[in-house]
Amino acid sequence: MTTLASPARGGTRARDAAVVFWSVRAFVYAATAAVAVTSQPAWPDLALARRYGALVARDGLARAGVGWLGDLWAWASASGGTAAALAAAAAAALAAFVLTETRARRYGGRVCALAASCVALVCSLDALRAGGGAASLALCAALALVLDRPTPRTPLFASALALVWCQIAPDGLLAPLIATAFALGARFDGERDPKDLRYAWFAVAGCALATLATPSLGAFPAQAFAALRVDRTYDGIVALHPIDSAPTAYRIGFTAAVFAFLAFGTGARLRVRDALLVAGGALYALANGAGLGIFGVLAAPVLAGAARDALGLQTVREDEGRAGEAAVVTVAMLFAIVLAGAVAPRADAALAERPYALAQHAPRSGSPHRFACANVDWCDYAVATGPPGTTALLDGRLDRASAADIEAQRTFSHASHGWRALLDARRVDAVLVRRDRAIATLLALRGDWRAVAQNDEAELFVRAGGRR
Amino acid sequence: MKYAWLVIGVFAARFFATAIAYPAGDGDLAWQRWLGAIVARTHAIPRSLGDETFSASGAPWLPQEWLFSALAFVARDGLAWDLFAGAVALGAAGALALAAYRAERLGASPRAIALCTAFAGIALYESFGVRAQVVAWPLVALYLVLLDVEGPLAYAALAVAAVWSNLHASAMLAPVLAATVAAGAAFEARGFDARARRLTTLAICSIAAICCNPFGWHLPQYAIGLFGNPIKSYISEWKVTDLDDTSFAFGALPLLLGAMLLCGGGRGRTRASDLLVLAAFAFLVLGAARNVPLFALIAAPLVARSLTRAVPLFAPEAPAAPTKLARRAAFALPVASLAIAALVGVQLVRHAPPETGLADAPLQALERTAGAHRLFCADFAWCGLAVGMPNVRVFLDGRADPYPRAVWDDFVTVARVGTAWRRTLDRRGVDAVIVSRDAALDQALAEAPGWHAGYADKTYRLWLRDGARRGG
Repeated sequence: MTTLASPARGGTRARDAAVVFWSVRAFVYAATAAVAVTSQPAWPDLALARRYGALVARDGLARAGVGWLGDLWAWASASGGTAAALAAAAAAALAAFVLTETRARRYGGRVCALAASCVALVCSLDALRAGGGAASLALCAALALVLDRPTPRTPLFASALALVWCQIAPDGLLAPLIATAFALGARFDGERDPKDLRYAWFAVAGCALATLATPSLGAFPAQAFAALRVDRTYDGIVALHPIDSAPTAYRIGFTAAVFAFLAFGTGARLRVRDALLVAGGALYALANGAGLGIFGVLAAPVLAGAARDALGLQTVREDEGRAGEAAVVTVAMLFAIVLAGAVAPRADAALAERPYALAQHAPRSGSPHRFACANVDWCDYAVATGPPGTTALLDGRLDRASAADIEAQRTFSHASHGWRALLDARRVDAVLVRRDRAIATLLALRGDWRAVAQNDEAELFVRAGGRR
Repeated sequence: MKYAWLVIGVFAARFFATAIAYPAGDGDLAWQRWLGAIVARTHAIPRSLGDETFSASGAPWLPQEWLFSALAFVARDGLAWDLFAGAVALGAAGALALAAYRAERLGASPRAIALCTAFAGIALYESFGVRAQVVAWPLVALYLVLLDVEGPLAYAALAVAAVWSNLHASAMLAPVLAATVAAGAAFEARGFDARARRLTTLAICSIAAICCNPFGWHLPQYAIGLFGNPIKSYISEWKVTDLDDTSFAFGALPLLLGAMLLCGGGRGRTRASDLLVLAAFAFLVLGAARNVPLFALIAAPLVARSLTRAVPLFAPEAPAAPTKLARRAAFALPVASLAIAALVGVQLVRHAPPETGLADAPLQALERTAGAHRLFCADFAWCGLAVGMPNVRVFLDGRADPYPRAVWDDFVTVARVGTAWRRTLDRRGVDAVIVSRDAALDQALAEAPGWHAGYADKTYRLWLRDGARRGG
């Protein structure tokens, strides 16, 4: 009896474990979709992308007179309305998670892969806003998946992914760098034959060429680098440090990843590829918190493999799980669509409460306003929602700004010496600032500016004597 | 360690130069000397803020750096100062040497030790100065070395903890470190073996050791209270670490990445006890720039060891019979390193100490201004220089911790020119303000009625309330 009962008990245990695993997995997928839908949408970015996307669609790039950093995603999703934007963000987030988990499974089996992908998800929490950010994560994960095992078709697929990525967000510029990490891995990790090495380097070349195949052509790399905001040019203008720009992801996700790496290392053997992806991803994330999601996507598979090695777990082939996975993803996506439909009206209503929404209270008589905003993203909204011709001292498209514009913004936002003369010289006639900032107090001290609107966070000033 | 001595020598030279030629970059030394003078005069340690401040007179104060302050007062000028400042620099260099020594004991190769010591040196670089927390660095490193020691000598760690508690409140870390290492040792042994028992005893006795100071158990209580203290958000040393900090970007971060890639898992064969300490300090270093040096001193030996094991370039050289040259080098390198450092130091002793580079000039102008003044400094560290001036009482100074939250809130309102800045200055009766020239507060005071400039130079401006007399 005992000998007959043991396999049955083992089978029951395995079935129970599978039920638990799939339940957890379904929950995580649903949570991913829910987080993406309920995260506060990046309205200023969306509004600007939508406006300029429409201009480009109508007049073409040259006539629209705008730079192009491929906010195609944001424009397209926002053009479909709030619910579509939220559902698109959820789809991108789910795709990023599934692709990251798929690659992680190759390294560390399904349990470690799911756990490591959860760390990646937490690292992405602040990036899952309706916009190019979530789509970037999916494309990054897909690129890593393609590059992971070079085949003759790898260069083609990698180039195609890089091409799409570059149309969607400036971090498409990372594609050739990621491909280079894989190629160096193929060269130094000694795992592959010379053909693999060739495919890997062709993929690098293809990704590099893809960065030149945007409407900006040869200007894209420089523009995209500026838009990545990883150098110190924008110090004091935008919040780049992860604790400011992605606080939840940094405090919880990045810290968890650091602890996990300290506990598990990077696997049985240090590989150049893993070292480059983890260290490079961490540096990018620390330079600009917006990169924490990319770090998570790149690091999760390494972490999964390391955890499996350290814990001595066996990797089991599980092709039979594909159908279940598709079902779980479909259900999660349907859930996201329903949730997006429910959340969208509230998200639209909440928009009026946002500090940058004050821009709409600027007097509409006379010529369009020129805004100065302490937070450059607020000016995105002011420019996008103002009457045609509304401009800003500097808006969120920092990649288009000259050094003089950046310095002017810094002088204004820090209320440094000469800021009043600067506003005069730049013909600024509307100022949108946080109420608790020195600039708000200083504006109120003299009679040449008057406050026309305020809410809990922000205050809108216009020139008292009309335009200059 | 042979290459590491060169690295240590370079950093030691820089530390000597900084200590002797640029002693007081943060204004703390001024009030610490004043505290030392009080201790010397009264033979007692003050336990509350006095009349030197008008915003929080009588607030409880625990002057954790009392011994450092007393020494800073005794050695306030001349050769004594050079010796005192030089000793602080030697302590920082000693911390590096102890970290390198620990790496060698763990089996790291000379090349790996040199590289990791260089990263640790960079990590100490920005925080270095003649400061109480710097004196704690060698004590941390020595405490860790002693925790590794087998046998009764390990109990010398208790003496280190006791000395540490008289110099800086970071002594609170001593029992935490010992307890963490003990937990790791128990995990490794799957039970309480002799090492785990010894470390547990050390952890418990260290709690008693850090109470061996004039404040007794109030010192650890104070240190624990600091963790949740909201004023940390206003102090630059407590700001969250970022890539703008050279010491983090080029010192602690390479060590952190090295630890993530190399120390974990089975490959690095890093002991669980070391990994636990590393994880705790990784958490601390990501949380505050102040912890960069401590993390580096802890991580450097462990990363050096893992680098030696994992990367062929850093593998130990094949053992060979020591040549005559090698034997000479073993003595010559440390001697040469210290000689270079001492030479730099001696060269600098010939020069008179420069100004602090802080707000000395406007403070002197205020001191010359007749009448008693209630001073607000836009950077509270500047007011540290005014503590003890006979006719000046400060709003908030570099002692920082004892000031109540309400004082900090008002400080932020005024310094950041919040809506209520003028009402706050009026309510607090401030009649003198020192600001950076052209800063927002400077502009606001220029626009506000009732204030006039009493002094101005390229960097600072002293604003006096109308009615306060002009200085000479």
